[in-house]
Amino acid sequence: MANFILGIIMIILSAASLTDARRMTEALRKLRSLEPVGPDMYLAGIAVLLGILGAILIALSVRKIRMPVVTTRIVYLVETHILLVGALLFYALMLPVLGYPLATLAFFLAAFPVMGLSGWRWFVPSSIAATVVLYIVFVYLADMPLPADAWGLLTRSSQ
Amino acid sequence: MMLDGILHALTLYNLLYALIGSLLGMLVGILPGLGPAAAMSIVLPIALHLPPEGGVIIMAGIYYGAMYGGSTTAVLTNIPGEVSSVVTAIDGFQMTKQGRAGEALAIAAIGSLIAGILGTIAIAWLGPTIASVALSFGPTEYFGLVLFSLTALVSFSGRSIVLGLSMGLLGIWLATLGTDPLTGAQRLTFGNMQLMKGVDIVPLTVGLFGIGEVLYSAQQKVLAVFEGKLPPWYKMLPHGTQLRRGLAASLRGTAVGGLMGLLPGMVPALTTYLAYDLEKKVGRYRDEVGHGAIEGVASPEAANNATAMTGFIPLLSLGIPTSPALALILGTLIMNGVQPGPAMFTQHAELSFTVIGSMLISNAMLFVMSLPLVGFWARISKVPYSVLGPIVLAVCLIGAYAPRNSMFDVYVAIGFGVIGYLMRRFEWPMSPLILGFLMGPMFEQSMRQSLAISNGTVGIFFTRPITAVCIAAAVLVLVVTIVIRVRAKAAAQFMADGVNEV
Repeated sequence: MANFILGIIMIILSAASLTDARRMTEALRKLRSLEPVGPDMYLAGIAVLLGILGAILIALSVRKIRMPVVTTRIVYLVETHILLVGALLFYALMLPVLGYPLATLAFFLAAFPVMGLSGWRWFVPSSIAATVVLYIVFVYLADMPLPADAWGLLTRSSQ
Repeated sequence: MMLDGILHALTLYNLLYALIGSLLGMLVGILPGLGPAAAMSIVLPIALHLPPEGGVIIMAGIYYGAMYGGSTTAVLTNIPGEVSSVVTAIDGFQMTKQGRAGEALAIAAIGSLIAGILGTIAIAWLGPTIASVALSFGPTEYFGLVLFSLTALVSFSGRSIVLGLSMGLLGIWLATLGTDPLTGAQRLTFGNMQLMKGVDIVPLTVGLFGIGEVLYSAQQKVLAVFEGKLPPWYKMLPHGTQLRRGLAASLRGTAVGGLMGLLPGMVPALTTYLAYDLEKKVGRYRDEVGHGAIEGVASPEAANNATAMTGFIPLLSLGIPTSPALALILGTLIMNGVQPGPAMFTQHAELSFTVIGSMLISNAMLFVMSLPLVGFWARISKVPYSVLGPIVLAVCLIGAYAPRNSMFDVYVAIGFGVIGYLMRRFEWPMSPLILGFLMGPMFEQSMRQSLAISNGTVGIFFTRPITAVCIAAAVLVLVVTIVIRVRAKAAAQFMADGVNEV
């Protein structure tokens, strides 16, 4: 099933690339490129190969398609991964708003329990300690400019 | 030049970088769920803030440090810290059960040291030699080399050649996103300003290797802990017949790993199988291999370190990485304005030989650290992933942000993190993707330049001898691996297991 979906994705990417290659051919004609194989032809070639391989993958996997059996354990595992990705997206969204220190603390407070560190007596101090250590490493030792909060109160701004 | 390199490597800062890289490598090797490429991708943004030799010394230290560290948990708890130590666990854990854990750990360290020293000598001798030959290479020759490298890598990766080719092609496709460097034309940007800069290597690797690895390992628990006692380190060293057997096996493993390491796709995980297989087939004590033979530890451990070392030869002299970890080192060099290739040993002689000199020093540091501190390393493996995972994720996101101060890169890293998880989950090989991405620009540029020289005639690829040989070799490798996969299930399994090596 996974390979089948991968094949579909490759065909979609192939179609998108061929469309863009055609657009480029028109644009490059005006520039009178002297290359026998320009960026448009190269992209078109890659797109064709992608389409062919995608079709082969679909053909090879169509015989073996099985609908996945969804068990409670699989649901639990997928849920954990979705929560983790959600925590990451939340972290990314909060970085330019809360700034690096607060966003990082909030992320750890969310991620440690998702990863299985239960009991607030464990994950709250762990979150604070990890935030402080990373702050020292990135800001003071590595001197990396990191996102400041929207009000410019915490962390040197990278803007 | 080698002596100058060693002297430069002995400066305070370079010694510090070597120590940091080696320590991180040992840690990574011991902790399951975090591979050397993942750690290198996380450290990459920090390495870019260091001088070029500092960044490479740390990255290289992580790479071969992981080879040392992986054997510790493999021997003590039968849980290899790295894929390249899976084979070591077979005889290593048997030796532990026989009360010979110290001997196993010692010969693993000795074998790795021998391979490290001989590998470094090979780099210092062969690297400039190959580079001087490659100075005469033109775009056509480079096209042939890259085509052979990608084909070999695809052939050795994963369960299916079709999947390997698909991943390699997707990597090449990803590299086309953005602005064409030769004409300035925009490809697949669809008017998006952020996409005009293309996909940066840092969020791609941080996502695929760092975030993807954590997502995949999210449910991991520590399954076994070593509760036994180890003797003082000086009593761990084998002696007499055992030492002779171990040394001989180390030399054989070094030869196998060192030669195979020159080939694209031959990652340490694969060469350890080859070395182990050799001991089972031709070793004098082959009947004992699999039941606690010292050769079963010495040979694969020497092989994996030798592969890690000799992989630097095509990287430095030709600019062609043979594994994802070396691809990250290539990325480090390029982002520091250093282009590996034939001119590396002339234009950047001090950097090249400093890095080579530091390899000797790092291997010595790793040997010194691995035995006396083995009790400490064994306890490190108890760190729960529930603590390690979120910290790695936070470091990954900041690492993705730092190079271009771009929140877009952060979202790209998260996206590739999900892709990396799916690739591990469905056993889609990662090596072809990352190498296709990194070598894609060289592949495109060499092809377009060659066709411009020949006015569009493809015959140029068959009339230049080196290119023709590379193309023939690529076809041969493809055909041979297809035949092997069809006819020999064991060999096919060995190649499929390489999909997990990152």
